Amino acid sequence: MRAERYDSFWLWAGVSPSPALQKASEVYVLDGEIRLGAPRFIPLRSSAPRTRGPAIWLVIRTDTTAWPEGAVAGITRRADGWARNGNRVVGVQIDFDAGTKRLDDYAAFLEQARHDLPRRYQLSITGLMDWSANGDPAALARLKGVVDEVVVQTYQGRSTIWGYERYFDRMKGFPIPFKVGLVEQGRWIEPQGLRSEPNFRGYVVFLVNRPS
Amino acid sequence: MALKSLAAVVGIGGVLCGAVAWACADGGYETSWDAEASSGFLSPTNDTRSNFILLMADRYGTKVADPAQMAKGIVPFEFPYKVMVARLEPPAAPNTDYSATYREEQDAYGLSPDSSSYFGYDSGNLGLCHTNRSGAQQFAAELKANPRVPGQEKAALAAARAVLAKACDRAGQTQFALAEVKSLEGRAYAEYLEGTRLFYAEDLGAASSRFDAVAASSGWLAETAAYMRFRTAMAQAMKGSVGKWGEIADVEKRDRSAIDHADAIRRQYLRAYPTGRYAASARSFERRIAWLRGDQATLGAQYSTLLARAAAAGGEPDIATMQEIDRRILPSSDLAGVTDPTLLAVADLMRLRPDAQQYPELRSCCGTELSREELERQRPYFKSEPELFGYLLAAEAFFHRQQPREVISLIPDAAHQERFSYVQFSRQMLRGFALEAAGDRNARGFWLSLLGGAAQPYQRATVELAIFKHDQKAGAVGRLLETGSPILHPLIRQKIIEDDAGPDLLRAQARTGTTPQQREVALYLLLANELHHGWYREFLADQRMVGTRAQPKPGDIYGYGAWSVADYEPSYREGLSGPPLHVFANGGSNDLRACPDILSTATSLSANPAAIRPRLCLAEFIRRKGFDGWSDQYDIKLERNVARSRNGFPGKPIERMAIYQGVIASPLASADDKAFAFNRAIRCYQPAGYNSCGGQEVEKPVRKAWFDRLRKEYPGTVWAKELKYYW
Repeated sequence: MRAERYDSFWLWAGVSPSPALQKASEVYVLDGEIRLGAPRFIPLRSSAPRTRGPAIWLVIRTDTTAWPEGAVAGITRRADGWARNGNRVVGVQIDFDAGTKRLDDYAAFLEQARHDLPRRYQLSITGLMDWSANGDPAALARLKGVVDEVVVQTYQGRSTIWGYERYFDRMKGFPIPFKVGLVEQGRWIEPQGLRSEPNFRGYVVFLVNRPS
Repeated sequence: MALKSLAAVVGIGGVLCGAVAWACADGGYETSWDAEASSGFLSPTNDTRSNFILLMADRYGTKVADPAQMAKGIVPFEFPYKVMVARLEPPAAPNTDYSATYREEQDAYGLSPDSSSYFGYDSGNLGLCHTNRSGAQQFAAELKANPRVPGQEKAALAAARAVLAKACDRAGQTQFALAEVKSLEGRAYAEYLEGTRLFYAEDLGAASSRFDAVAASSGWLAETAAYMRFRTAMAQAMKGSVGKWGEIADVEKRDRSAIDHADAIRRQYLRAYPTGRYAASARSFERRIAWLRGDQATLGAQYSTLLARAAAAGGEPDIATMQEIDRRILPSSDLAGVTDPTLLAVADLMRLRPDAQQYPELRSCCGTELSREELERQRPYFKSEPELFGYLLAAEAFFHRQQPREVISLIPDAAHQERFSYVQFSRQMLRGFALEAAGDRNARGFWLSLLGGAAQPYQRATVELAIFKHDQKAGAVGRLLETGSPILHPLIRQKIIEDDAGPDLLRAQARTGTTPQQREVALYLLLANELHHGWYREFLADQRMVGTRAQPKPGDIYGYGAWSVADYEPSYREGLSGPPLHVFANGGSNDLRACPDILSTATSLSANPAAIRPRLCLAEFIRRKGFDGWSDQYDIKLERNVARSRNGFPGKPIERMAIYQGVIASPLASADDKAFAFNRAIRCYQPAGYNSCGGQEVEKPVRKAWFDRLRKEYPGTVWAKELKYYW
């Protein structure tokens, strides 16, 4: 797939902003992470963005649900800071990058996050296809009412996961607005019926660095 | 620098095949490949930082893994860099209060308690607060000791600094009440204090003027103000190097004059205070300035010096320096100024990653491929590391030019050792891969001879994997489960049980497997395969081994845990849980609608394998107990799921769709059975129009015809009444 054909992107730390961003309508910008072991916020971006125009999501990568007290309030302040910089901040995305089968725990964690995050910010999460028992999207569907959207990642590292078609078969009637995350230069053939899903909201492309 | 997606590396053909975990075993869906790999030997496919950790262990005796971590759970073969780092530390005590640690850190930064602290920033997120608390302590001590500041002024100044010490994040809103400070020396402290406030408020221009104003004073105050002028200029330079997205901008877009200005003030400080209290800090900033300038040669020299500093044997390696190098040197692969053999080796291995044309996504990082000639030019730097250089020469031959025979002549057999260093081990591993690639008859014996010296973390698992792959290629893995097998690794043993064991071996492993997990997996696969292949009598006999099992509580949808090797992922779990053997136990299947439990069904089928209702009930068991898709295996060559016989059970497994079609076509089936078969066959395509029941695909018109027949011919049955749609 080619990034130029899309208009929503993830911009990760260490990835140089590519020309595709110039006409982006929506950008998920990784701000920092909260890591298992010593959970505290670690900024991963040298500075706050200064953008005009695209909808901006402030992304927090984490592998733990044991966030320190006040973490969401802190993230809110960062989002507010970005907004003061002129960015059109629409929400916060939690990129949980641990393959968890304990979605119960995760649901409770997200409920708390939604409670702590002011309503002016939407809450987005990423979902891995192999999450939950047997990779069943029904488990993710239980987050309806807690999160505003789910972005389903179809890749690991820089490759599209084989067999994603089967996963989307089971996403029929998914009750939460969802987007599909693609990796730039990954393999992607749109599964039949995806576009007619009422809650499908398009694609988000994970930008990668070009070969030097 | 991470190597993304090893799965693609697998495709490089026979030569590299041996070098990466299960890769060549049987396809892409087996292992979830993490982006940032580590392993027990030096390799181009490792994360650069992982190679660093191995090399530093040889160089200074630093740790590769914590012994307590190696002693618990499953030792991974190939695992993300972050797992490698996590395994360097002793296991965390249960109930560690992370919030307490966090509060301590917050205290060190001197942030306001209600502020959510370091999360907040208003301007550039320059992260200046980290010196706030220590700066306040120094300020207080110096002030206290200074005889030229009157007592009551001291109190006011100390109180003001104490306010800032507790609320760095509020520096912008803080106002000091220092009007009463009137003495000359007191005013200088007040001026400095205001500079400090402005610095933390990131009002850098104003801060700088304040520090300038104090420069004429003397002692601690003058020196600290001079240093703070530099810190302020440095912050300005950082601010001027940031792009629209908050990233560090490309070199040509950075504020070069701000960077030069910062460097000039840094040098000015060092000229005035060559042995000053901040001299070490000011010198270390040379690296950051070189980085901002894009001055690779200075950076390379600086990092070479840093790496030459011995680390404490037995301690943790200097991860911070490795990571900094990883971010600042390796992306450009510009090694100007680099003289350090470890750093050169790490960069060289990165450049031996697979072919750019074939795998562009893997080489977005790595610069041009390393040639033999270029490596030869590096030879002088490896004078102290001949074994490492020899390894690199062989690695170039193997990974770049794919010349296994050259590797065999470059690396002599030194397999019999008491204890391998990581370089020695990597050399012998590479020799082993080369022997495999060259089809050498002694390859297996060679691998076995490595086991004795494979004593350091991750080494034994690595050799065992090589032995497994050798035997797998030879179609002889079964022997690895026999008594006296060199394979101790629970994951390899279980993989053989899962993929390669036939009925007899499964039955034997169910009784005598080395761990409860292996016995349970063997029994689960044995029973499931017997049912799927119609071996009902054997099933009933072997089922006795299940014994009594607790059944999951209603609503417990996570009863099917991660039991298979395919579920193992070192980032998330240290071990695997047992398979859901309870489904075969008494009471494990008496919740099947319109059907008895699986034991009664198997008993009926053992008397008459064609009995209609029992066959439908077998299908019901398959549907309800997690066996749909049982026979699917992902074939990487075909890029799709294929049904094939597993574990040496001859013939194709029974599939639900075939059962339903058989009943639909049977003149002997009762109306109720037919209606049931129609209902279930139609539901196979629920919800998205794809068949989840295996067997032949059926076109939509056929499904419609089934639906129409069900409604027309069997309208009175529950099966017709409950089905409102077809898919």
